[in-house]
Amino acid sequence: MKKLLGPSEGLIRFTHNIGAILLAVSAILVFYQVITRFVLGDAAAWSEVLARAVIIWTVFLVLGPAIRLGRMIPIDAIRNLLPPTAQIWLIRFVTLATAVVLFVLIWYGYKMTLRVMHQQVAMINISVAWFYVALPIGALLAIPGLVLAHIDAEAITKFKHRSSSDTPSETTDDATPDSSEEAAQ
Amino acid sequence: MNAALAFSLIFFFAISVPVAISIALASIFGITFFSNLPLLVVPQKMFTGIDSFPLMAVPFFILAGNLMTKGGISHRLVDFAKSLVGGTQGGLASTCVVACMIFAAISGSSIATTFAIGSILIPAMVKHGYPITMAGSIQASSAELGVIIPPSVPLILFAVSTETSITQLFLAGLGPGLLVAASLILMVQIWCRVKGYGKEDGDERKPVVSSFLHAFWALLMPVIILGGIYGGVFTPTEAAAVAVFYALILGLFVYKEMTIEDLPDLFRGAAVTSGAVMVIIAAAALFSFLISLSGMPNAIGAWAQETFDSSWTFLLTINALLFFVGMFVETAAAILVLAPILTPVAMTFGIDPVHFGVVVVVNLALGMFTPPLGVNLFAAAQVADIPVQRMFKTLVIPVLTVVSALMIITYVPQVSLFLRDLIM
Repeated sequence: MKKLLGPSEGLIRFTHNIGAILLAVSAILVFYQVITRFVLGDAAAWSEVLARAVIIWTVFLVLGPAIRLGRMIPIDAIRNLLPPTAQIWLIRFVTLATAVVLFVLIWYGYKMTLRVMHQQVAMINISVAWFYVALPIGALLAIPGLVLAHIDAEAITKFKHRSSSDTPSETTDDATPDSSEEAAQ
Repeated sequence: MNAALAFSLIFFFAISVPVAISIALASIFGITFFSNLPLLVVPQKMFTGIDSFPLMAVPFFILAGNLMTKGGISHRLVDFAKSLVGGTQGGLASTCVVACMIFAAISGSSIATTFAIGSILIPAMVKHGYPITMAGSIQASSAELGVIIPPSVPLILFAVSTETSITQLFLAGLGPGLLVAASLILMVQIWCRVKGYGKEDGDERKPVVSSFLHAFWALLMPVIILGGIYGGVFTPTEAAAVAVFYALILGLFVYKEMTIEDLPDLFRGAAVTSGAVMVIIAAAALFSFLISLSGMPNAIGAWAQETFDSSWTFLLTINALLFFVGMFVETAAAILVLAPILTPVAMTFGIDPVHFGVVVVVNLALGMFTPPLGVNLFAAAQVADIPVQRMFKTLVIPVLTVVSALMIITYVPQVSLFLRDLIM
């Protein structure tokens, strides 16, 4: 089990990097569109379609990194008021809930991709399946991120519990939701 | 189906399931148990929900904001704002409002604004004798201008989810933004005089002309972005892409405060931030498809027509509802779930959807610095390095100030619409 953790982190880092590169690519495509319109007086139509596809790929590729880094924006006010054992069960439930959604995206995203195989995208003459397949692939690649995030979340909650039972008076500060990290961007 | 969707969504939110997952899961739950639809609509609607050119302005504005925060633009804007309003008692607090206002005109997010301006001005205010809780509160409340003054990510989200024009909303956000900024300046001026803070705020102030020249290229940015959009030169998405390149050139070659080595992390950060928002948009598109299928907007509309005798009472109820929702729920999710339901209802009361959009965004922006939860609060607390709870008491003043401004914005539609009606 432990042997898989390193490669999983590597995979998440890899998809994160690809996502960042694709974001840059889509910005370049739209900028190119502006330039062609001003210079040639006529915008290239394919750049807009392609930029949209690239953004969709970005969004679903960074799903894993976003889950891994805890950046999926939970509303955790109530959870932080609960006793640690309840918190751990909630964390498990959240992981399960996320897994269900990922599973639906993988399985039905795959079926949807098959279904649209023969639909062509206007302007660039490729199958729209190349766009749709971002959903199942992104969701599949997010699974290691979910596992890693879950291991971390349980460990942190247990650690907090241990350190707060050493100093029982410090209960109010624990109520601060740790969303500040999400806000960091 | 309606009740199942609503209750499961609130339940998942409450037990800290991430926003996007909550919305998707509530939809999956509704489809499986309360409809004959196949689960294939899940990937289909999530795909079409983000397959939109106007929406691409969101990741680009987030990216541009990241680049600007790093690229040396913020302290030039702060110096310029200080040279304008820094000379009076409480000048530093007023500088905070004005700097946030200018930064808001080039960034679409209030969190970016809090970090960019707060990291300079919170320490400066503390150094000049302001209590740290007051400095944090002023920063957290001023940063909401980031989402009111265009360009604004929440305004884009409202536009896309209700099929309203982004350009018109961007025109309508300007008046209310200036009104909120003016109220906040008035507030800090009175606050400082009553409490006797900020008497030496004018120290180290630069002359207007030199600080203007120093900040010239940064100040040109809102002119290009907003001028380009308003003048019909760019679409908002194109303007956002132009903003990315302008910020890159400024940071790398003009101000030289950013290096090529900084770029990978900035892009990685922007990718995850925009990905997290875009997944919410995708899930919300699925959710609002189910909601409209089940006829909820019509049902609520009919009920509202019977219950409220005028648009005034309706709007007041909306104000209260959004204030409450904004206290707990993240802004993007609140807009994407509620706007498609509430906007048709508002239109039956004869409320212009553009005006309504501004009201919704200002109202929810209030929630960004209203305890107990608010992204600006956490950001400001992080910059000030104090626990969030310490600011709760001082926050009463800015919250009441913005509530008063919100009342004017809600009940005097001209504040939002005059510019659009003048131009269009």
